[in-house]
Amino acid sequence: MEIAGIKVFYIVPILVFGPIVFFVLFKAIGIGSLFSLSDEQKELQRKHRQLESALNVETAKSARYKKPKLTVMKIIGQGLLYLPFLLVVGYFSSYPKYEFAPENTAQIKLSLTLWGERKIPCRTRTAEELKELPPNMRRAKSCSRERHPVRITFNLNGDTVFNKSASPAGLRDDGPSSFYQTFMVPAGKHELIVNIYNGDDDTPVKTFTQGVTLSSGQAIALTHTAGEGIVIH
Amino acid sequence: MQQYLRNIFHHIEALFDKAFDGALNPIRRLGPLAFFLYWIVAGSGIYIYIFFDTSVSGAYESVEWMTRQWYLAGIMRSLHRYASDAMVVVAMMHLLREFSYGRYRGARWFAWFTGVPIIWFLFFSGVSGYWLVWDQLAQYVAIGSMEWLDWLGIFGKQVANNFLSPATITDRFFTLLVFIHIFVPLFLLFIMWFHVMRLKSPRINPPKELMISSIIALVIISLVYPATSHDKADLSTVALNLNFDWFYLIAYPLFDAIGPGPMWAAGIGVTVLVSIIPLFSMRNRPAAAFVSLEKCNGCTRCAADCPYDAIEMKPRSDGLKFDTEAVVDPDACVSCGICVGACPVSTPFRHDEEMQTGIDLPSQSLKNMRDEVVKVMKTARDEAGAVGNGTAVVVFGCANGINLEKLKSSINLPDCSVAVMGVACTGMLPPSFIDFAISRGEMDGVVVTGCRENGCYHRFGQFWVEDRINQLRDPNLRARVPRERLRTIWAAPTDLAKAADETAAFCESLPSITKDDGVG
Repeated sequence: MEIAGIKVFYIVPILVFGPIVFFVLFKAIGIGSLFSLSDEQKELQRKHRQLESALNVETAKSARYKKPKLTVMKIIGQGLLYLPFLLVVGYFSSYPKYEFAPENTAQIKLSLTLWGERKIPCRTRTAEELKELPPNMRRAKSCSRERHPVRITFNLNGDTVFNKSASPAGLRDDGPSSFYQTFMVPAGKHELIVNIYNGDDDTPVKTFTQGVTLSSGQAIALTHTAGEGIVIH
Repeated sequence: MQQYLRNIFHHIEALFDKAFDGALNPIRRLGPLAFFLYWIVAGSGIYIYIFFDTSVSGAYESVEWMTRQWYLAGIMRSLHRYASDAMVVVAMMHLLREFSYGRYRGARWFAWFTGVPIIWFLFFSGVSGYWLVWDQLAQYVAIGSMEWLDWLGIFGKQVANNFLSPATITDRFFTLLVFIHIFVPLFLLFIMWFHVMRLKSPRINPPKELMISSIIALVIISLVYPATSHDKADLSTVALNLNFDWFYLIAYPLFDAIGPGPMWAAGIGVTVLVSIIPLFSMRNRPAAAFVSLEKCNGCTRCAADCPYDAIEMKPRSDGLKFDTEAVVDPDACVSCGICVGACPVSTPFRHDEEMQTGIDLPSQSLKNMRDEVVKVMKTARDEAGAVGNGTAVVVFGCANGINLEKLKSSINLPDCSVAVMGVACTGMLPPSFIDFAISRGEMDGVVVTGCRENGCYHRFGQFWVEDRINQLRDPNLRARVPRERLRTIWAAPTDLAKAADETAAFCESLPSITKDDGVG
């Protein structure tokens, strides 16, 4: 349902915000004073008039009370001084253009969150061990919280462009290791190979190989999930 | 560098004075203008929020709808953009101007220090606004911002992962961005209030004429060059060329070039460096004003005139019959001496040796002022006498206006002898010194000079001087002082030649004035 082209749904916030805007404009900013003098200003004006006649001084000359005289020339002058300001604001709000990357470039984003192997592998607790534990903590497996760091290499068209090891997250080193890196590549065919290593091992625990063809301005992301392994979005 | 920058501002202000009368000069109203622009941004923001769709899928279309309604919502959108950009320009000019004027020294460190986070929050407010349009620029800015944050490693999971593909960005996350854009500007307003809270009667609204002309200017640019969006954001693409808002986004190309670590280092480094600028001037901080209770009758004039709220009236502690006494907060006092000029006891018409007054400055006491003015006036009187019927004039000036010695040497009139005497701020000059110079110092004329009109370094010094001369504010200049023997010249250091000409012309006009004009 619409009233004067505005959805009724929108009228509710207008009714809520309207009085707030009105209050801000008239009270906080004091737009109301544009139309009338305050009592204090009226009193000062009265005092000036009295003094001017009593002392023969022109209080109107005081900087504090001097009323700005707006002549046509002054208005033109103000316009001329506003102009460069407006040109600067207008131009630099959109220009010059920023070239993030040249034409015929594409982006490959590597965003992998991987769990390293546990530092001490899980083992099955004996019956005696389980008996000594409180009932609520009797888990069959005993696992260390700490995990090994994970290292990955990213090979692009035969060149290793990324080789980094990441510690597990968390104060106890019990979280996943995260990798995030972007690569700008020329549009076209590319061969991607990601190797995942556990700790200082030289043999990868997982390898992902995929050929892709990227168009100019295309962006792909390589992510990892426990179920699917590395996937390209 | 500071002096060069200050001179540049003096020249710019002089240019603007020609078109805008002193009180309307926007260069002298940069702080209030920034406040006013904030209100325009807030008002237009509230309006466009009404029509803004806070979902990922609907945000872009709702902004496009507003842009197409060029005559209302489109203007509001453009006003929101351009007033925000103008606020950056005005805030940066304000920072540079205050730096060039040294307005971070002494107790003013607080305003300077609290001004630094304002810049951060201003940028953060603007950047978060660019996210919401959800066009290609928004995509670039949002991802860049998250990558910058992720470098800190404080989030368990990379926040930038929310922008990996169209499937990863959710309405819920987008709503969070909307809330950031509402609450960061609110926090900005809170810091802006904090920024001015130690100032007495802070000017947070520019004159109404300036408000009107600013709005007209912003509406004109909104109509001529309305704000538009890029194509809709698409996380399966990367924008290679962007129309860039350099006011808010200038850090992002740097971020692309040098990476997040150096950018954090640069950002924090510049912030710390700018924040500690006041520390470099702390060693030379002059001692604060002090109260002599035996001369203080608790009249409250010093507290009323202090531009920094450094004086508080408290219950009497010495058993005298008065209700209150003035108490100076040394941390808030900038030693401008305006309180000395406000004290009715600060008069040179006394014979006691100590010349004690209710409130005084250790660096330039009332006694020193009297001794110095007597000395320079005697020299000037002797010089004037040596050339026969010469004219002697004393010029009282402040530390931030024209250089008094240069002014003196610029006036080469054989019949005119000039004595000069400097005070921290012209507002420090008790009006009785003007009376004293004419009636006891036998000066033919008195010139009071200080910063340019409406540009008082200590905010109100110039206003109080004029009000005291015009008997609008206590302590008044007595009616017996012939006002034609008194001239006020408000001039910046770059106006030396003009001030010298005015002083010389005033001096030459004096011989025609007879001395039987009521001075006792």
